[in-house]
Amino acid sequence: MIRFSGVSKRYPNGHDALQSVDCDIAEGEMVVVTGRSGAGKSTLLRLSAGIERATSGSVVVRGQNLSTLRESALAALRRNIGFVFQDHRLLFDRSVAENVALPLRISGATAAEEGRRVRAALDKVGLLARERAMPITLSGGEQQLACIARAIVNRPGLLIADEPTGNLDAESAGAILGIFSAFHQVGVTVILSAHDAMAFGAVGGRRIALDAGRIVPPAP
Amino acid sequence: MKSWLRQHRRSAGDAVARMGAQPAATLAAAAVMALAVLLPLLGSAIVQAARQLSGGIDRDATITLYLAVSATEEIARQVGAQLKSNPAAASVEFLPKAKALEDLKSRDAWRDLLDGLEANPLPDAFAVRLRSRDAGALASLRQEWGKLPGVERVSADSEWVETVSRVARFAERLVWGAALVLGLAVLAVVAQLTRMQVVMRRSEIELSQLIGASPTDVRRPFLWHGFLQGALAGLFAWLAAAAILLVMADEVRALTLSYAAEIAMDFRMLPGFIAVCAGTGALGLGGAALAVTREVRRFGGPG
Ligand SMILES: Nc1ncnc2c1ncn2[C@@H]1O[C@H](COP(=O)(O)OP(=O)(O)OP(=O)(O)O)[C@@H](O)[C@H]1O
Ligand SMILES: [Mg+2]
Repeated sequence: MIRFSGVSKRYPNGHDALQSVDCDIAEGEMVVVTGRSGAGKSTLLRLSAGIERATSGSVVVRGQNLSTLRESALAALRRNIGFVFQDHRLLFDRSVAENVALPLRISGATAAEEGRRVRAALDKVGLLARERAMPITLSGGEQQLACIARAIVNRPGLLIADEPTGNLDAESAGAILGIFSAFHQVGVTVILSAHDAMAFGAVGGRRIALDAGRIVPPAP
Repeated sequence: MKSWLRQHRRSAGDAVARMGAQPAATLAAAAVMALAVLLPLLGSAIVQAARQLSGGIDRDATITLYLAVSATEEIARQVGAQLKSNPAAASVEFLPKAKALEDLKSRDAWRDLLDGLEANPLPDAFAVRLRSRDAGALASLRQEWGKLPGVERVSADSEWVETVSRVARFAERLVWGAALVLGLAVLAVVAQLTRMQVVMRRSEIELSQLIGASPTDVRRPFLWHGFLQGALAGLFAWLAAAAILLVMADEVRALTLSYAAEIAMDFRMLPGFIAVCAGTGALGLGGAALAVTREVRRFGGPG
């Protein structure tokens, strides 16, 4: 489903975030990308989602080489991927439900469909009771849940979450990992990242370890 | 492609909601743009009226000879005979001064003025229709007839008509030029409004791009906003122009009373209502498109 071949990413400031990375992620697989802060986890995830373009090498997602895709085709690809951002990126001037509805707005769903899907997504993450709340009134964990609801509302076949348990207590983190496991169970390809390999000890899935922009053998 | 329609309806609704949320700003911007549009609108109405005037008057070359007020009937008879014998004249009509006075008195505006007079201040006149419309022939006849005994003044109406239509043609170009320049003003106002909106909604735009909004998706609500804001300005401008013409109509009628063709100046002289709104709407759309494309590119976006 996703194939990285000799992928390097250099940011405009000259920093090499990834250096000749090769990896394969199969359809329906669950993968946890680990590495310390600055290792390049977010960069890898953003490249997979077509949010960022590789400097060299090729990223192929669902048979499409992202380096050669036009901007509109890249946007279409992003519409079919659920992405949970490391920094949430909720819009603070609208309610939780409106935030979750944003992907449906972009894809042009009907109002009825929108209402139904937003409630289903919020229900799945256990946030239905806060549907009308403004994001500023949510706790950090609840904001993370709202962000996950937004990522799954379009029922994507590929779900990518960048440190979804970032700074949550063990119990909340466990609940969130449970949600991703459930999606994996029903055939969704799931890619997560964590700086602490131990954090996801409970969940299965393959580990991809990064260190200073290169893939290294995972710690035993 | 129903979702396509839905997205447009939603973007339009979004734009209307945003305009409604800031009614003062929306109306102020529309009023400023309406002022810019008003000028060429009124100009075009005036050109149109001048056209109607010059088209309405008989376009055959005619020369009118006014005799001296003191000229006797005998002199008038002699002049008439001379005119009729001239092969260049197709027809000669005598306009006796008594008749001219009657005509004038039948018009309200003149009656009071004329009733106070003891003697008829008007001269006898002849209207001569010419066979040829040649300007040179006209000029030489005019000169020749001006020297006839008892003739005080000779005027060629068709010359005057020519002048009006020449001025109208020139004024029309002026109006087009003004419309072009002031149209750019509308474009600039909408571009500035759009720029502010884009900056205000930056986080929403960036997020939308991250989760799959195409450049078209990002632009759509701003384009609708620009179009509607421009169309609103066109609406204001048209209504204002129509109101001004309505008020001016009586003045204009009084002004043109003395001519055969009367100008009815009203909103029918304006370019069509729909055309004006569509035109200013298109300008707004253009301004918004320029601004949103430029601004969104400035903050980078994904990829
Ligand atoms: N937009 C950017 N411009 C310049 N450098 C960047 C940019 N984004 C990331 N970097 C650099 O690239 C390297 C990898 O960044 P990345 O965000 O992928 O790390 P990470 O593994 O996700 O770290 P963390 O666990 O802190 O989120 C870092 O050294 C970072 O400073
Ligand atoms: Mg990161």
